[in-house]
Amino acid sequence: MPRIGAGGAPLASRPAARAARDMEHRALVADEQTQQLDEPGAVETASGAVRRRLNRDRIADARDGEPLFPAQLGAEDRARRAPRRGMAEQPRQGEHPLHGAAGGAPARIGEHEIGVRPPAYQPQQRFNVRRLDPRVFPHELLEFGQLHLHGGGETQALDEQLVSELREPVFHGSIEILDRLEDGERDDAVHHEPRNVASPPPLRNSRRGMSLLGTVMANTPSPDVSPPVDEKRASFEREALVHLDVLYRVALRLSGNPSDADDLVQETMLKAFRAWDQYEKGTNAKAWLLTILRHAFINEYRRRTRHPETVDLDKIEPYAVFPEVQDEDPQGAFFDRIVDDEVLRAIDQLPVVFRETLVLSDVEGMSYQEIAGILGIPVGTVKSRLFRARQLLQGKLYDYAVEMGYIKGSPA
Amino acid sequence: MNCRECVEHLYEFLDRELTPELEREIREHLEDCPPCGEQYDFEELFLKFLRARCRTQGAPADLKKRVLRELFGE
Repeated sequence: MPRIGAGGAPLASRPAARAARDMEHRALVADEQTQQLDEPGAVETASGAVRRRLNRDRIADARDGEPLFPAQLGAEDRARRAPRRGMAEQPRQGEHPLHGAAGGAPARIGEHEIGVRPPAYQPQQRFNVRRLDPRVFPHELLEFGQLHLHGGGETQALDEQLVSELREPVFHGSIEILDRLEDGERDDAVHHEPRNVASPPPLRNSRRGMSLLGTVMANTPSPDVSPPVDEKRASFEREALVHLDVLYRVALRLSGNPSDADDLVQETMLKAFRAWDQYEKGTNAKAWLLTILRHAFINEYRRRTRHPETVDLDKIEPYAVFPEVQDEDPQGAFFDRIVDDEVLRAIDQLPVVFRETLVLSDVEGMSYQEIAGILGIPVGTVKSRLFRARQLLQGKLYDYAVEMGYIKGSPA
Repeated sequence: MNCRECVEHLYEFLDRELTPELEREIREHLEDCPPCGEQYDFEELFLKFLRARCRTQGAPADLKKRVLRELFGE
């Protein structure tokens, strides 16, 4: 369990030093609480206590477009967040960064919260929360993990139960945080200064293997918050439009023809531009855009196809090509004789779930984790689909090569 | 590490998606086992071939213009 060590936080000012001490103290408290959880019934008590802190009425208001959630997140907090590419630093599926494998335990104060920002917690201060993970879509039901709304030694949790009550994502709303903890009310930390607002840890949707993003921003009432149009356009061109080729290639493989691919890319760009404020600049724009594109495709596909592809994926038996060619052409030289169009045609014949996985991985070079996020499936599913997609494709290309006489083989 | 396990993880190995430990085990096996080594070469070539064949195409030249026009009215 990570602990805040003596050198953990730069103790630049008196309030900051106090905040650091505070955090250290809370780390100890959190440890104790965790130990208590070993006792039967403790989990329920603890989560109940956490839940009470949430002003449900206020949260419910978030449904109507009022903002929800937490802390102020400064530039230094963003800088601290692990780069999205690679994602190796992220915890494994099912492990909350603060929980480890033992789900249900109260959040422990770990390294995630070292960067306490001095601005005081103000009762009735309003916060805007925006989605941290650009790959999560507004219409998807989101499951939250723990959110640290204020640094009072308590974690406010939007647990699954609560979220299921909300029925729909509350990311676009906002919430007034009215409840300030009363002194002594399950608040083990001693506060002489105004409370500090800690940044929330990156959220993670453990059930679906998808990381939630979400930065929380202080809601300044002035409308000047949104960047000027020129700036928005510049950053969009810089970060989004550069991926036009990737988007088009994927769109073409998904839709199967240039005209639909065009439409799909245009629709994607339009949606992306509208939602550009929600994209956290400098993260993984490619994955974010591909998620939008894929959603647009699925919607259109469902609309057009009354009877969507009913392929029993489990019945598709890919066969391994290598053993077939091992003696005759172990180097796979026959591949080189197959022209581009034939390869693309073979890909287009794959069932869409295999096709999309294969294209994202083998054509566009996305990582398993990125693909899992884009498709909304677990990493394990990405692996197995990819395995079968590749084997299927090899089989098709092999059959074609045999048919064309590029290789003698023994077609199945 | 036996051949079956090696082949099972071959794609993950090629995709650089394994833990360093497993990656090392596979690499060692591949060095010691010519048939698995051959299969590795074959699969590696296949993936390179796929990438090369499918990435030649980009967006049509006028698509960017059309997107810009739609977004910014140009």
